[in-house]
Parts: sequence; structure tokens; C-alpha cells
Amino acid sequence: MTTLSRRTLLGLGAATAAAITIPGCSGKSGPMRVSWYGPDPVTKALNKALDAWKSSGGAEYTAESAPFNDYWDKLATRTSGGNAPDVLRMSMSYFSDYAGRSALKDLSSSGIDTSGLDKGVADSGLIDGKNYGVGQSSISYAMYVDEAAVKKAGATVPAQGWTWDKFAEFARDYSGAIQGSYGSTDQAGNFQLFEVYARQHGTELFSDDGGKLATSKDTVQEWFQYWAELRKAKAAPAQNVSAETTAIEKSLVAKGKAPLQFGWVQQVTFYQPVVKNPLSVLPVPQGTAGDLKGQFVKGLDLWSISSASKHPEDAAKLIGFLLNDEKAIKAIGILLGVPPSKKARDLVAADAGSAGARAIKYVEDIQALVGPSPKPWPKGYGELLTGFGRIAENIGFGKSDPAKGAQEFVDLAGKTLGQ
Amino acid sequence: MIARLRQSIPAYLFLLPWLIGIIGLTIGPMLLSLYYSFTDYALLNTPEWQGLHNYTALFHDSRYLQSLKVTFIYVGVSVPLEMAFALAVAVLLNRGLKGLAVYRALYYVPSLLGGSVAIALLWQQIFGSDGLLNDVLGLFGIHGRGWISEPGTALWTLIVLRVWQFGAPMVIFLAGLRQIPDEVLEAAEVDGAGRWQRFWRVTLPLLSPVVFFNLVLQIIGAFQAFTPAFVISGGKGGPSDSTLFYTLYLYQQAFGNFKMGYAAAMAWVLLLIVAVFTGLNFVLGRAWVFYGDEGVRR
Repeated sequence: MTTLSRRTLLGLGAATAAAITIPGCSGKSGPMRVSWYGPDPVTKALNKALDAWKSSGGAEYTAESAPFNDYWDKLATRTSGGNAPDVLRMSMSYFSDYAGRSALKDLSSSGIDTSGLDKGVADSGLIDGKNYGVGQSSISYAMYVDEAAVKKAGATVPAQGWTWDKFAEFARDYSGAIQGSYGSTDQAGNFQLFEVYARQHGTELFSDDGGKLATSKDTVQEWFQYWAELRKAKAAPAQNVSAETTAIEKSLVAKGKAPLQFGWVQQVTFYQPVVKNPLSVLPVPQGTAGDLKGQFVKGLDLWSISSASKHPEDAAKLIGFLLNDEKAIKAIGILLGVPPSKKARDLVAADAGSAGARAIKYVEDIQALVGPSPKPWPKGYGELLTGFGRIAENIGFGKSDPAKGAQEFVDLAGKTLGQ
Repeated sequence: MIARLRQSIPAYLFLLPWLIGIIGLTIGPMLLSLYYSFTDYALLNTPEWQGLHNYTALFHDSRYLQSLKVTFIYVGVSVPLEMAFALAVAVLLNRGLKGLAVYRALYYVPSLLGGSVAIALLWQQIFGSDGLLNDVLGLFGIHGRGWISEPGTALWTLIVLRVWQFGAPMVIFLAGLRQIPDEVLEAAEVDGAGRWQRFWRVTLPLLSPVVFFNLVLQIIGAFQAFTPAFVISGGKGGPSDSTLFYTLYLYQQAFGNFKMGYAAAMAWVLLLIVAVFTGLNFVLGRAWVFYGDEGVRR
């Protein structure tokens, strides 16, 4: 046997040390990490659901949460550093950015039980036949109406839906009847409501491959024009008023200065606590009254697993648990959206008088009437979302006009999509 | 030779933590960012070389030009105002005031807090349409406005916020004023110089190195301003891009739009701009900065 010199021994030691530390660099497999975005109620609910996971013998985990905007900054840096959380809440706004750059794991054979989920929701994470995320909720766009305020003004809001023209008429009359109030909030910069409007004009917002804007420049211009006229008639607030109403508690509906608010259906539960009267949940205005084909029901928030996850089995089990376990379903309620399965909806809807129950009923009522759900939003959607709002704001402040703004948006889309 | 090396080993050992820091945390990332600035790098993919494209694209980007404009206005207005304020208060405090330490601390506090999120939120409360400022204006029968929600005034609230943080340069001015020998000022007084003359002809020239030091630091700091605009505009640089600071736009491109290469190019251009301004300061400074020993040479 050869004797080892001091030098070889040292070298060997160094090599072993390197061998041990290098895998450690790429994220030592501690407990599985779970992360999500959302306001405080969402965090409380998910923590409760995770407690249920632990007490039913689930694997160890650590949890982290952040507000929507901060979440994406953090996730982007962590993912690029090879340090993404194992289970993560993924929004459709960024889904294609992550899935398209292979940051998410294909869940097709992960064994997550999605049999109870609504069809449009179970498939929401499908890109090119691979499933990068499971829908955690069924959501649709909606209008929340303070009907008591509307009644006081001597008006009504039709439950079956109304046209954009009728809506404008209502907004004008309401603003005229109640001093210091606006019949509508300004939705010019609301890209998600615009998607419904675009579909009412006969096209999807994006082409099927996500590489192009499918709606026309004219439709964009018409939209900006519509809201510009409402602002001019003082039926919608001036831009500087809207600029201060971004937080829920500062919204016009919370301050009693507007009788209605637009948003994703589950957000009614965020608004209800700050509004005195019960809010009813109704469809958004239409091209033809009662024709809800512009709207859709879809899973817009997904549970995904990072492609670099060291705990893919546990992660899949946890997602299955959050979707199907009774205790988890009850803990989450409708804070992530209307639950994506009939079983979950029945469990949650018990409290019939609540805003949550009205949201669930809304989704069930319109499900058969809405149009097909659009493909996942394309790469670059996040940039278009903020860009659309910014362009609308420039028009509102008189720095641009609907025609120029529409052109600007079409240019932005051309630059951003399909990259 | 060997002996000398052996002698300096302890020195290098003591330097090591700093060396690791500067190479690992500063020089390394800087070189990497220089490389990224020539690539298309979306954070999640591998960077793709594309030469100068990011740099040329900057000057076709109207929002980039807007961010330059906002930043230049901010630097150009807030720095002189802040300096003037700091100097004025320092001169006042220099007059052997009772309880000087307390005043010094009081005026310095905003500098400690100014960069914080809490103060930015407070600013939002003060300058909102139902905020404190409008309440005060209301007492005089003046109908206020939403100062931070209108593009015409939003940037000015941020300038006021910076000027309010005059404490740091003020403390440095105060130290500089303390260095000016009383004899010189007394001699000027004996020669018949009035209060203003003494300030302009004696105090200010003797203080000029301190003014210069503050100016250079404040300009560099102002170019890098980020937190207040980020918090007050909710990260958007609004309303209508009126508070789109350079660093804020850089951040949006990097982490909002996944354009890390583009953001890296922006960072290097900013470095260049700051370097040019600092260089210019040093060149112009020769004309007005007066170091005591130069008098001897002349």
C-alpha cells in the first residue's frame, strides 16, 4: 500500500470538501417551501390550511407570503438564482413568462387529483400539452353593486345585464342626481375589463399562439373614447380623483361616492367589509344586453411546482391537499377565488347571506352563458397590463388622446408579445 | 524577497475579508452586469449576446427619456435647494445657541428617517387630497388639490421631501464652520466688513472645500434616489410617469418586465452620467474651491 504524502492528503481533503459544498450551493434540501401572494386575509387563510396539512401528517414545510407586486420581484430573482420555492402561487399574468422559460415543472404525471375540478379550471395551466399549474379557483369578471345606494337615487341595475350605452346613461343620471358622486368608477385603464370588451367585439384579446394582439386598434380607441366621454360628462371621476383610489379602503365605493365597482368576482369579499350596504355581484355591461359571451370562467391563479424543486412528491401532495381536503377548503373559503370544484363550493357556500356566497352563486349562474375561456395570457402580459393603465392615465390627464393612446398600445403590444 | 512576503502575510490576512467582499460583492457583480448589458437576459433564461442593442434601444424609448428628464429636474432643483437650506441652518446654529446639541439632533433626524418607507407613506398622507397640507390650506380658505395624484405637482412633493432631509449636509457644514478661525473673522470686522461681507468674502471662501464635498455627495445621492418615488407612486412612477425616476424605471425593466440586460445597460449609462457630473464638478471646482494652503503658493 502506498503511503499518502501530506500534499495528496490535503488535496484529497479539499476535493471532498468541494464535493460536499457544491451541491449545497444549489439549495440544500431543507423542508419544502411554500409561497404565495395576496393581502392579509389570504395569508391567514392559507396558514390555517397549512396547519391542517401538518396536523394530518403532511411533510415539513416553511411558508412565505408577499403582496402581489413584491412577490414577483422576489420570485424572479430567486428563480434566476436557482432558489425558487417548491410550491408557489402563480398568476396567469406571469404564468407564460415562467412556464415558457421552463421554470415550472410539468404536473401531468404528478398524481394530483384534479378529477373534481371544473373543466376550464383544470386545464388552465395547459401549454402545448404540458400542465404547468393547477387552477386554484374559478374566477370571472364582475361588477359589485351597492343596490341600496342605487335605489336611493331612484334607479335600478338590471340583474340580467345591460349594454354599455345603457350603462353610460345610468352613470350620467346617477352623477346628476346625487351631488358629489359618480355613477361609475373610471375603468379606462382596466386591462382585464377591456379583455371582456374586446371579446364582445368578436375577437380574443390575443392570437392563439400569444404572439400578436388579436383585437383591433379601433376597439382600443373606442374603449378609451368611451371612458373619456364619461369623464367629460362627470359621470366618471376626473383622473386626479381616480389616481387616489387605488387602495380598497380608499375606493369610491367604500367612500360612498360611487355605487359600483369592477373586479374579479372573489374581490367582492375584500370590498364588502369596507362598504356599508351589501354588494350584489352582477355581470359587466355587454354589447347586446344579456349576451355574456364576452365574459369567461377560468382559473387565473394556479398552484405550480418549481422545476428545480427538491421535493416534487411532497409538493404535489400538498397541492392535492389544498384542492381536495375538506379542512383546507374550509380554511381557504373563497379568498383565492370561487373554489374550483362543486364539492368545495358546497362546503364553502353554507353562509348564504355572505358576499362569498353571492360570488359563488354568480359564477354558477353565468357558467353556462359565458364564452369559451381564452388561452393562457402570453409572455409579456405583465408589461401590457401596466402599459395599458399608464396609457389610459396619460389620456385622462390630457397628455394624450384616445387615438394616440390606441396607437401607442398597439405599438407596445407589437414590441412586447412573442418575445 | 521571501522574508518580505512573509512579513506582509498578516497584512493580507487582515485584508482578506475586505478583499473577498469587494471582489465577491462589488467587482464581480459589476463585471457580470457589464456583460449582461450586452445581452438579452430575461432572468429565467441564459443570456444571449446582442452587442450594443440595449444601448441603442435606450434612446428610442420615450419612457427612458422621460425618466432622464424627471431625474435631471429632481437633481437640478433639489440639490441646490437642499444645500442652501443646510448652509443657512448651519450658520444660524453656529451662533453659540443655547441647547445647540438638541437643535442639531432635531434637524438631523429627518436625514436618518428620510429614506425610509415610513416617511414616504407619511408624505403620502400629508400631500394627499384629504391630507394635512390641504387641511392647513383650508384654514386660509385655499382650496387644495391632490398634490401627489397630479402630474404637475407630484415630483415637487418629492423634491420637498429631499430638501427636508437637509440634516446630513447641515452637520458637515456646521463642522466646517467650526474650523474657521475666529481671528480671521474678527480681523475682517476690524477692517470694517459688515455681516454680509464677512459671510461672502470670508466664511464662504474658507468653507468652499466643505461646500464642494457636500455638492459632490448630494448630486451622486440624488441621481440614485429610489425609495420615496417607489413608495409614493406604488412602484409605478406615476401619475402619468411624472415621478419615473431613473432608478425606478431601471427597477421596473429588470424585475417587472424581465429585461435584465436592458436594465444593466441603464445602470451603466447612469454610472457614466454620474461620473461625468462628478468630473465636471472637479473641473469647475478649481475655479471656486479655495484650500487654505493655496494662498501661500500664490
